[in-house]
Amino acid sequence: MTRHIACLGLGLGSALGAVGPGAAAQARPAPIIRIEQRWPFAADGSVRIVNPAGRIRVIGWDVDTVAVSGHGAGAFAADGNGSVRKLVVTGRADLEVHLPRGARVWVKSAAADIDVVGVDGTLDLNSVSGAIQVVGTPVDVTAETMDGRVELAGGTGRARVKTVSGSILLRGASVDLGASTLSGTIVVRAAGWQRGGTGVQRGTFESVTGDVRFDGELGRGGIVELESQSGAIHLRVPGTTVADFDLLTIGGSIANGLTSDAPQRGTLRFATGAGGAQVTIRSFKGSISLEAK
Amino acid sequence: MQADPSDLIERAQRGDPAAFEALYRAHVGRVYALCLRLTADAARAEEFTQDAFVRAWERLASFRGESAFSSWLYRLTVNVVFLGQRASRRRGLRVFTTDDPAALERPRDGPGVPGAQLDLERAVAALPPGAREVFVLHDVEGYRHQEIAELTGIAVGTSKAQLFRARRLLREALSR
Amino acid sequence: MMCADMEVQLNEYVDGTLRVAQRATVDAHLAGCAGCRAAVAELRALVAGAAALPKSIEPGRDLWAPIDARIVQGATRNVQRPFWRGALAAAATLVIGFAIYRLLPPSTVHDHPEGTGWVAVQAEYEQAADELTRALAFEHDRLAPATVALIERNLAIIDAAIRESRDALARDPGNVELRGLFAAASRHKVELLRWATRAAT
Repeated sequence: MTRHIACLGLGLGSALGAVGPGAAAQARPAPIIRIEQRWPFAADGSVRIVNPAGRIRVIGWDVDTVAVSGHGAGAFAADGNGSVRKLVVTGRADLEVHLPRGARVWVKSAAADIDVVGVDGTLDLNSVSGAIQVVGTPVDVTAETMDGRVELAGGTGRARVKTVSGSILLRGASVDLGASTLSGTIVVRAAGWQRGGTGVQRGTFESVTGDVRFDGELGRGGIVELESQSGAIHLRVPGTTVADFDLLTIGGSIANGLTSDAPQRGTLRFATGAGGAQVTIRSFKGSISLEAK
Repeated sequence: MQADPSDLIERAQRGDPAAFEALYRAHVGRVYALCLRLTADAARAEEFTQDAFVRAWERLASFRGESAFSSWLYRLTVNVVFLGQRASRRRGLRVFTTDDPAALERPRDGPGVPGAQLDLERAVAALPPGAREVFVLHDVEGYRHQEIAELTGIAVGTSKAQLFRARRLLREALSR
Repeated sequence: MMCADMEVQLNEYVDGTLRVAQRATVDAHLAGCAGCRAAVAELRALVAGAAALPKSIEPGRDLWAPIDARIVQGATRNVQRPFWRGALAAAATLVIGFAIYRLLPPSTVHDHPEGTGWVAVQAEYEQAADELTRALAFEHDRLAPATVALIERNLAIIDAAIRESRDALARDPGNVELRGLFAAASRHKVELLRWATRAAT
């Protein structure tokens, strides 16, 4: 039976050719690689980074250059030109990539953690079990993992985060947020949400069994939806918040610490003033609680 | 030229492609208008129009005349669009670019002041997707919030909020 | 201009969905507020304009030929067409352990519920899940054992959630909110299966 070559997504890249039956398989240690390269690069170019394991740090800077440094085991290839650059690690590496702030960045890893700081452009970050952390003010972020943890801090224009069981933490001021998980938890800390004046336009947070916690401020005209199957949903907002609240649970409980309105048979609808935000909460059997800051 | 519609439907249900083509010709304008306004993207609207008719063909057997054929077909079209849009949104595609504004300028039925209508069409196309979808379904197509909730899976409260938001954005856009 | 806190009421007023007492309150307010009267007039004009838009727009080209081709071929439904192309293309090179496949419920892909609207949406999710599951079920194990375990665990979680929702819906079939929750659970399952595809490539 032919032993498959270890594919890119998993673990160390110890490559072997086909092994005949009965032959002992011996893994040669992968070659050590040291990386130190740089290229001139357009301020709004596209960078693609692939690194199965280890670590990937992406740092935005104000120089029209892409610079990559790091070390690892396996192989490293860099193709591209002044506006598109691909950095591909086969094996594992600790990589640090400096690139122009406004670049579009696409990163794929399996177990490597991904850290992005100071990028204002578009981020598309994918991992299986690696953690993803973004600090800064990217205009658009998409982050997906299976069980890696995802944390966004700062302020984004638009963010879409998805995990299967990884926990999600969203902090800062953002306009358009979406987070979805199956069994992970979602925590949204929206301090300074109204910075910039527009407030959140929309936020959608959903899980199946994980808890969903929203702790922050709602902008006028914002539409926020929280949904879970069995995870507990907790909303903590200033007592002066102006919003329409539409809560429904099939089998869970509702606790209202914001006003004296009481739920009726799993439903609670009330408004704290008119023309404010719109909060919709749905759960199958997860508990729902509202709390005043 | 106009065959009895119920006869056409019966024939199409028995597998007659010519009868189905006649149904297509009779309804494609409405279906396409719905897709175009919901997506604000002529290319996607064409794709969804095709998907809707193919699905209608496959589901014809289940149409029992419990409503008008057109109502059945348009509801099916809304389903097709929403399913397709959800799939694309998950992958982060921008599905709301109007890359063919000329699509809104083709000759069409109905009276009205062409200039003002075109402004309104453009303003609707420029709405954010959630607001645009509800506005098109409620104010253009005449569905009620409860029906919109059933067709799209959003809550009735959200439907109303999106509608009022759409109307506010449109009033602002049209008064410039 | 419209008074800031009157937006919801004025919209409902124009739509005729206010109760009698509320309508009277709005009437009283309008009597003394020119800004809101102007806003109501604008809203009415907007709603009338929307209703008067042409109901029919001819597509830029004749779409019958591609439709006819798909009908004649008996092409399978590709509602999430761009989404699935990637997944099925990947299916040629990806594998998933049999253990996962065994966990999944038997395929009911050809038992389509009748009717349109929500029920049709639900049938689409089920078919999508079944198609992707079949596409993923191959012999060899290319996923790390830890990943396989993670997928299996979460499949069990989501299938339990789907069962719960489905049972509740069977007891209360007209419940729109329940349908929404059930649809969300189905969607999560399809997402998970999509993840299994990508994790293996």
